[in-house]
Amino acid sequence: MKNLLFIIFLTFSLSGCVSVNPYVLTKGQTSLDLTNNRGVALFTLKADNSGGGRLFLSSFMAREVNQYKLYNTLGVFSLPLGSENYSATDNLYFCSVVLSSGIYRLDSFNGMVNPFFAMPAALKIGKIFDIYPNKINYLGRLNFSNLDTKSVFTSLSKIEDTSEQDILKFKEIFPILKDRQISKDSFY
Amino acid sequence: MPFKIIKLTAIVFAISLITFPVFAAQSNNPNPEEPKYSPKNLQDKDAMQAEMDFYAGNDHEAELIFTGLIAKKDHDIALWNNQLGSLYLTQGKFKEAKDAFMEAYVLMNDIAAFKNLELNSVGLISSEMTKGYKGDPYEKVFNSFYVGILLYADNDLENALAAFKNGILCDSDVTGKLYKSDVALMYLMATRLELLQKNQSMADDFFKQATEAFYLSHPDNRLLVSQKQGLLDDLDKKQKELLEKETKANIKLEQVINTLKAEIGKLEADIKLAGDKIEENNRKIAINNLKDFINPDNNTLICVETGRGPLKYQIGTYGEKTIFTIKPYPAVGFSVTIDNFTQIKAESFLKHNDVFYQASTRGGRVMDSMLKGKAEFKQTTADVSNVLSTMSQAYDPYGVFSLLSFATGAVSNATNPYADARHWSLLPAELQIISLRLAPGTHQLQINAYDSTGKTIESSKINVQITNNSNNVIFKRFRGVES
Repeated sequence: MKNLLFIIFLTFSLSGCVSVNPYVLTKGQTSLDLTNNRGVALFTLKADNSGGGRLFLSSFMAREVNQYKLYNTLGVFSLPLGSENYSATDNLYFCSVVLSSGIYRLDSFNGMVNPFFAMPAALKIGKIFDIYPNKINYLGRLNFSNLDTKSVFTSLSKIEDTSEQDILKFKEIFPILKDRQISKDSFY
Repeated sequence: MPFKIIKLTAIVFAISLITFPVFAAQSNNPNPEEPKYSPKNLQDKDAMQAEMDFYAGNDHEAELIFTGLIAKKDHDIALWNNQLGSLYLTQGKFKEAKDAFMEAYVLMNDIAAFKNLELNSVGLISSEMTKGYKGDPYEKVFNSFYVGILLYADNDLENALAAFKNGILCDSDVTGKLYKSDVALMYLMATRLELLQKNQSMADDFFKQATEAFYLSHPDNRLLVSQKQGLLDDLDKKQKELLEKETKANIKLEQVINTLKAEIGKLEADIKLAGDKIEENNRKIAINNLKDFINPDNNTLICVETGRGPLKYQIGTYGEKTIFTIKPYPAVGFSVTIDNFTQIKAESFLKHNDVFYQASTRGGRVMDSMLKGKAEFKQTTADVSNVLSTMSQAYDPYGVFSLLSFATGAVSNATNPYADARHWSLLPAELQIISLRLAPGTHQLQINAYDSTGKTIESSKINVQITNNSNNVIFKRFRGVES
């Protein structure tokens, strides 16, 4: 009986460890199927940590914008950010979204400020972006202003096009993008 | 028993006779996409795929989806027709575009259309999206414009004029007084048509209104017009408040009345100041392009449409509000070269026919306040349900509060305050137009769109056939897809 319970526990634990979110790119991904109207959006995020506080982001939210669907049926996607998405050298988060073609709203980034104090932080964005069928688009770099550690608040200061360096790094982090054409698009 | 077997065999044979040709037709269908996009298999939400296909340059898929949705003849048929009309216009299929816009035109301007479906939206518990789509005032204006200009290209001048006049009328159906009838293009087209029909006095009248509309919607005046509209709204409120106080005048209210009178005086002075600044700006705005545009000797209209129209989406806890945003299009101007020789600069075009400006200045419709009521109703019933539920847990031996809680909870969940976000998303962001004289015959037009650095970002070469009348119309859409 104990063995049975242990096997069940192990199965649940390991299945959680290896589960793959189908809405983001992963480092070890070997195939990227964009048939059936799927597309990819890529963007980076830079948070200014010069004020002393450090921001550790764990996920971001994207919400479907679709005039042809009822509001309560619109999809809301929570997309994880792992260690592979973070580049400590330039303090950049490399984010990817793999979804059906359509219009989406990037709602917020969630994480913590100084993990020892475990202060939850949410960066509000509220920017719209498009996913085109069978296309991979780079959207830009979101720059956040200096983090106020007391109020745990920072705001979006600018969105810039740093496609040349970001796309190279994206191809390095996610080998599946290496031979793919990446076009440019923008948030709005 | 044998009779039963014979009967069964006969039935199976009859069914196979009916169904076989259907399957045979499907197996012989050269286009495997057809069943996928057949009206039976299509849902409203598939229109998003068509929209993205259009902006990705996959026109064929977009056409199949919109055509399939139109065949369903549902409550959104006017919307599907507008979307398909924009697609056809982009492809240069004028006749098909005219037919699609015409169908939408009839439905958008007919009060009796979709009457039964609209009955569903009157109650508090139905969604805005279940009613027939008729479009916002700006959508009606642009539908009328396309119908008018395509009829004009067909030399149907009387009906074209009627369509432009209808557009002018639709533009007056807005809350803000200053934003009424500010689409200069509609007045200019009406002027042009009156001139072609030798109605000089009517043409003069329309041209006067075109000039006023052009000034009002000019980017140099937009902020001032917005400020003036805000002041006018405040003045209206204060005047009503004053009238109310004066009717029940007594000594206690005297001070309030005097304060209101002072505030009204200040508002009137501010309105005059804003008006003077607008007048000052108007003197600096050149209107030469307007005069060139209506010149009946110019036999060709070139319309260049750029970017992507406004996006309307829901916000608020219950999605009860809608807002507009727009995707920036990098082109700041374009040039037209005719037969590799004559070059027309962007400055010559009639500009500022900005769809986003028209969409966002239409003011709140009456329906928006009704939706606000629905959201409040939903919140109240949800709160009542929560209170009753708590009470039922504390002291409800007979389960009365539980039942009431369940009932109010059900009503709250059935309430749909979601705002209607349906909109004509294949409209361009801006329309620039020029009238010029071209010699009859075939011409080659090279149209380049360039960004702020002067770099060409999209270009197109088209061959056009110019006839010897005044009504040649050329459309070119730049939507971010290389053609």
